[in-house]
Amino acid sequence: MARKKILLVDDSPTILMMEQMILSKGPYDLIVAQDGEEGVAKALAERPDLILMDVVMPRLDGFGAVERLRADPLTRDVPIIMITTRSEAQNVEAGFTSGCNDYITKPLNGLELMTKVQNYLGE
Amino acid sequence: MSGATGDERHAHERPAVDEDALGDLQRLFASEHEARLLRSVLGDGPRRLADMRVALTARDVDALGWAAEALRGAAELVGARPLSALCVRLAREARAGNWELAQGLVGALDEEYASVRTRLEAELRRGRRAGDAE
Repeated sequence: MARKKILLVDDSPTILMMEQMILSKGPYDLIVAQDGEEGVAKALAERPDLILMDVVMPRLDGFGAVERLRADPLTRDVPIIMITTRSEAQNVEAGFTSGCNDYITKPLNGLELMTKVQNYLGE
Repeated sequence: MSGATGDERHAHERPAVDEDALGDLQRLFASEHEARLLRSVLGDGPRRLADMRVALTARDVDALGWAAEALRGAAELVGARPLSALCVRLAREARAGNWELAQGLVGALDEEYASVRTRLEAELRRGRRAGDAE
């Protein structure tokens, strides 16, 4: 069975590293991008099975990136989990409005992240 | 005057790093991975602080927000809640146009980051000693 591909979009190398450490325990190919523009470009080029998207990033924020991905037929149906900061409820609402499927709050909980990823990848 | 309040504490009031959060990292990852994360926080922190200074000088709300949010995320990962709270406050004051107040928080941010760095470096030394003992 082909390994599932996950795109991680975050401008913090520390958060990207943590996501990679957690998800490398699963059978996934991980791709990273460090802002929304790069995230959109890599999503179109790599066609991931799932995207984890940070909110606050340079060049293009997470909401803008999700809107662009939803507008493109190639990425319209890719599940997107928004990574947002705890206690910022307005980000959750804006994330759903932009088209994300779910959200996880920082600081990341390894079990929660892995469980949501597995759910969206049908595992 | 630093302008720091509430969670934005000074070293003598609350610990710079929540020991439970560090403990969670230890439980979640092997010591080698934990050390990589701590080194990443220590490596990225000074760059974010420098970015914040540049953004404050330029009165660039967006750039300040990006740097503050990135440092905040890393701070929360290691349980550095006062540092996280200072990042939030600084970005909020800048968004509100309170640039002098935001500028006044930089000293508190530097002081807080120094406390976090001291604790994380101690944690790295402890991890190395534990590795040597195995």
